Amino acid sequence: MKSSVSKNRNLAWVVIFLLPNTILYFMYTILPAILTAVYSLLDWNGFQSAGEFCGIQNYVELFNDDIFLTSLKVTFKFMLFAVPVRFLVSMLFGLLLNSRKCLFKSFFRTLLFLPVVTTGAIIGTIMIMIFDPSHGPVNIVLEGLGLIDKGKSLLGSYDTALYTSAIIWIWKWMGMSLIYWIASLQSIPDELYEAAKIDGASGFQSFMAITAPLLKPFAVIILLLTIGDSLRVFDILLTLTNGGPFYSTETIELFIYHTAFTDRIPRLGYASAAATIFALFFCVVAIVQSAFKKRGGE
Amino acid sequence: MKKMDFKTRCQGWAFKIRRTPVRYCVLALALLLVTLIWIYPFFWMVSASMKTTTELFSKGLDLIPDQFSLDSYYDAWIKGGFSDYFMNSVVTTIGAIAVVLLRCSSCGYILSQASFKGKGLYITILVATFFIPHGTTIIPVSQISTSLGLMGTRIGVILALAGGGQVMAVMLYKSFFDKTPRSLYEAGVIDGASFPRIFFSIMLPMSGPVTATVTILTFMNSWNNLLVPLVFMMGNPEIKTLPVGMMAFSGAYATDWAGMAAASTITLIPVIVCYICLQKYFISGVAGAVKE
Amino acid sequence: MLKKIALILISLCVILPSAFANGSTEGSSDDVFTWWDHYETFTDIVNSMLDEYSAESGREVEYTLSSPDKMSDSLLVAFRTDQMPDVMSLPFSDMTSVCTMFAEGWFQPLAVEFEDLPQVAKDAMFEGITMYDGEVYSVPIFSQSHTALFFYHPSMVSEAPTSWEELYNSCKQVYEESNGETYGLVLPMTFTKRMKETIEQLMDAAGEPVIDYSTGEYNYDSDAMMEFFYWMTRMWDEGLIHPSSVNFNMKQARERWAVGEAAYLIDGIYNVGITKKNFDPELSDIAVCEPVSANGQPYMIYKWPMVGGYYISKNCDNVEVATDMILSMIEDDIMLEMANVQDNPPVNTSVIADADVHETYLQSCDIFNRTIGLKPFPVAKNPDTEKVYAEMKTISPSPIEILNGYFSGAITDWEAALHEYNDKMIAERDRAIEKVRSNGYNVSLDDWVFPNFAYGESYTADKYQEL
Repeated sequence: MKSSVSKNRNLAWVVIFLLPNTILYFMYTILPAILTAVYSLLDWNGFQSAGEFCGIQNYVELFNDDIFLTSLKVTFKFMLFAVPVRFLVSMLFGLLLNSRKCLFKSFFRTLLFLPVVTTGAIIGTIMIMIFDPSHGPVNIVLEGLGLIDKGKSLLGSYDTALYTSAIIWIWKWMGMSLIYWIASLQSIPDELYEAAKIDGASGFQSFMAITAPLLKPFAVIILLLTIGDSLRVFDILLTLTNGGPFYSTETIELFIYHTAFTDRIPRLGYASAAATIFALFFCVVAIVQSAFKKRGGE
Repeated sequence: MKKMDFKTRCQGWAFKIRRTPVRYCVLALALLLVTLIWIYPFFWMVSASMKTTTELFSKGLDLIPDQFSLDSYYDAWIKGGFSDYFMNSVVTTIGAIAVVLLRCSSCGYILSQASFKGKGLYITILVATFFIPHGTTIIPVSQISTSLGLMGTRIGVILALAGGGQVMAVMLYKSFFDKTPRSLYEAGVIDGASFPRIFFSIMLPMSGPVTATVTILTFMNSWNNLLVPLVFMMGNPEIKTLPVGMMAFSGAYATDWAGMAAASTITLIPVIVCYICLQKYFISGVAGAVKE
Repeated sequence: MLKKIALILISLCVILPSAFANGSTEGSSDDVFTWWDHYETFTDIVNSMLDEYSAESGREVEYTLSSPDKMSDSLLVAFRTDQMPDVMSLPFSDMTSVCTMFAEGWFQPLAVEFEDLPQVAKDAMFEGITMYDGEVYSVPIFSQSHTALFFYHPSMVSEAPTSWEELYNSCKQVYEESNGETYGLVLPMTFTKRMKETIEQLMDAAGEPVIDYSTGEYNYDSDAMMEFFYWMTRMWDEGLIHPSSVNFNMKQARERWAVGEAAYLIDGIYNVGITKKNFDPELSDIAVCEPVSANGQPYMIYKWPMVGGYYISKNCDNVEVATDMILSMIEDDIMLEMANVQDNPPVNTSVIADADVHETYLQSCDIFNRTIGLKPFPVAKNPDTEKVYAEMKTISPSPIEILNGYFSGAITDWEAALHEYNDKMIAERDRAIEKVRSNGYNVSLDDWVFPNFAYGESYTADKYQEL
């Protein structure tokens, strides 16, 4: 088929079919990325209409900026905690909700998916109330169980704010991973399980022997998708903690936002430099991922 | 007709429950408990829409408001202009979905079926920018849109929502078309159908599950997107969408909690309906994609 | 299945063109007269003015009200993309950014001469803030006020405190009598811009402003600051401060105070109007007292000259109409309405006597009258210092961040952190001065020195002449 389409008379169609995607991709991804990289070389106060060229000054300053370095750390800490938990919790739910004996599967699935489709800003607002230290339900329950002291603010303490917001993020996005897992599990043919049953394997044995190896390639992809999501967490943190307390939840995205908009003197060039570093990092992750995938495929 | 359906369905459930071993019933009960806790915040939201501010803070876990009233819904829908915002959101979202479907399906089709010079590079560049977030590029995007005269227009919002990489959608289509049998295309050629005709009348209609998946993903993104409409709708209130309209409840001095909760609930309902309708296709679409 | 998809595609084909058609006809915003505002109080007043204009001219008008944070975001994007509203209020708290905005051409002058302004406005005008090169760019609609008022619930507190220690004792009593159900104080810790201002005002009241005007040096680690930190950290450790304060912005803190979760709130005068409108229509449980950092002594709180209420953007194409609207905001009847809703006191304070306001509001106005003076303004002494302010980078952690760091458990040695902040601020200003000098501007540390400044006296425009 490939040869038939690639014949010359179809070349025009190839171009026409590629055009919409290419134009939109160029206008909204490539060109802005290039512009951001250009801005990163400017000393540009947000109140000014244009910046002044300053070379790599912004980059030099970034790597001496404690808050930027903290935000790198915070971003990775968030990822290292949130990704495995979301991965495992969603896998557990996926296995439960894929089991043929489970009742009302699609009902449960819909409920678990509900947070995914809710605006992040609203979730932030609701969660501030849910985690309120003086009368929020979470504190009432945890204090009742004797797990935390009275008045301990989970979102307001330096040591717990990041993990609490990570848990809220996991809660919001778990439903998405769940769909990935269910989709993956559905691709394993039932006959394999039946064969295992005949052989007298227990549930756990058949999981280790059949499900786990077959799921491995899917797991890699789900993991990478989750990592990507975790690096982009923004609106939830903005409404939940706005980067605080004391920069303990200031991720790179928030750092960029604060630098470009809310600082006393908003600095567009400096924020662009941070964005460029961030974008480059994403590209590397993406390339590593596709290399990974290729190797996995072969 | 519908009633009968429901009755037989209930009988079906009852039958199913009776046939299920006890430990699975216990499991279902446990799951029910977990999921109810899971969506507690939503119950809280709905109940908040009927509470006064003082009630909201004094009640703790209690979800039952002192009195049931739908006033805040009425206020949000009629006085708050949410009926207009709602229509705007619908038009913007449908527009974005249409653009995404068109650009991604055609591109995915070509990337799958045609071979041309630079195809590998094209895919590599697409994938490399997969993770670049919207937020960091909002200023250049708004500048580009301004110079094209798209700022403050509905088409500008739609294009910005549908713009960018959309790598996931392109790849979903590509992997779907990779699996379509060769004979289909050949049959089309023998019938004398042109290239676009084969695509639109044979290939695209087949890609139902992928189309459903892309629709849901785009729907979620557009319906909830705050940043893009916020920036693009400055100076043109006629095209405000729901999330932008919601900001009005969080005033400079005080937050209208009941109004905000009511508006959030209103915003959420179409999303849930859309998800429930497309759920089946969605999962099989994602299954196809993950497999690749 | 096929049918369904065909249906979807057909409906898309129908809806899509309509979306595009709508977009292009409604598209241009040029013919809409836009007004962006963050003063919620004036919504009705402004809207009726706009409606009147719209009816007369047939031109479409658009009024947008947003919170100060969102509005400053929007303004920055709008400026960069040439989409500024015709008229806007300024949600930026830092006066030096207004100076930068002048230098970058954000505004157009009003179509009015200084001489033609009413006397109340004339008295409040200031070069570099409401005027630039002798032209009128805005008029203040408020008179001076500060945000270091201590509001409390008389039902919980019997006697107003006059020192940090008395405040501590009072909070402790409230907390213990309620068995830990009610906290002493609630603070909007995430609203750092406001808290920074409030802390500086508290230091003024304590007699130790954060700039020592005789030497020009920063004074963020003064004894008064240490005392403030001592009592705040002690109150936090003993659970007297609302535990959510760490995550609260102003709205949340005020909300919790108003519903009775805490006895004290440090806020501006508009708290009276907001509480009345949203929580307590009778204002049955509200009282105010002077900043406790003054220890009951005579004091003065120093403020920048008043910023204007509304400015006309460079994109505005009907300056006459905008000028009329802006000037009508300072007419007596509107001033009176302003006082009636108990927002910031109007620039023409004489109308307050005729207004229907609560006792607390009158007390607050009286406090302002007695205790507010003008702060020495380096930019007024030497306009080039604006470049230094623009060059200075934010130093963190700032005092408010240090306090929040202590509350959240990130910092224990706040004393050392305050000393470090002060040293870094001095070093950063020196660096900025050096950089600006190297660009050919004539600035030096002397621009921050005001030898004729005397604590307790206002630094009025004539004092600059004496220098």
